[in-house]
Amino acid sequence: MELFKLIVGSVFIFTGLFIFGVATIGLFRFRYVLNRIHVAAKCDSLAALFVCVGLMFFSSSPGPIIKLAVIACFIWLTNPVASHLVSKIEVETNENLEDECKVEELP
Amino acid sequence: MPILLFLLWLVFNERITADVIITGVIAVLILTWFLSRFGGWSLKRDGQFAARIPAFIGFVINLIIEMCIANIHMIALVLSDKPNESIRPAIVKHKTPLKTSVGRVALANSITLTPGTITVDVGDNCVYVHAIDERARKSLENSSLENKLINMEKGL
Repeated sequence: MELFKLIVGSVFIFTGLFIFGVATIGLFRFRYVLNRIHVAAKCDSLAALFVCVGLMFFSSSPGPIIKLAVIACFIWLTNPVASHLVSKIEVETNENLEDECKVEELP
Repeated sequence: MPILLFLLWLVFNERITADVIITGVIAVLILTWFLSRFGGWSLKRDGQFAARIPAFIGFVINLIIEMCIANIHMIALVLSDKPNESIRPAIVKHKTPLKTSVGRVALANSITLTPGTITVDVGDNCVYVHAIDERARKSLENSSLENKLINMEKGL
């Protein structure tokens, strides 16, 4: 049972770390703010969920497990709001938006 | 809601003693008064939300599955040879039949959580979405998440 928990937890944590790594690489490979947000902000929320789930397998008492679940919930609530605000400010203030992406209709 | 807040307080403390419980009850009472005065909280609204918990759990599971699929696509895009040339970003207007503000906020947040699409702004009957390529735009048009939200919104 201990070995099983170790293996499953490690798989979750390493998957999360892999996604974190890819998100960091993507941050440098894309050129424009709105394209960067896609990898920077969103891959992070899934990776954080994976790492939290992986850590849950390593804790024995219920206290830390519930705390990790609460952490994951708050990350999932705050992360989209933060990236949404960054993108909103960018769209409202950039005058040369047409150069970077096709705009069908603006708010 | 007061019970949820109290449980959160107990989880943060990790022990049940008299002083923790007394402080928690006082803080929860103050917060409940504040929410009912400024946050539009009422017992009726709590009941409406509580009745939707099973549907909401299904929604979250669906969201996690969609996120994993879209994330694999995103990873392939980042690790491809020329990421800047292969994407075609665009801002599109997506019409939504969701009426309540809670439903629209949930839709906007789930769109932003899915890699490949970001909500730029939320209007009265539409959301403006920045999509990174064609595939993300297609997934926006026929997503099962919106149908689930429409079902959950009925009677709210």
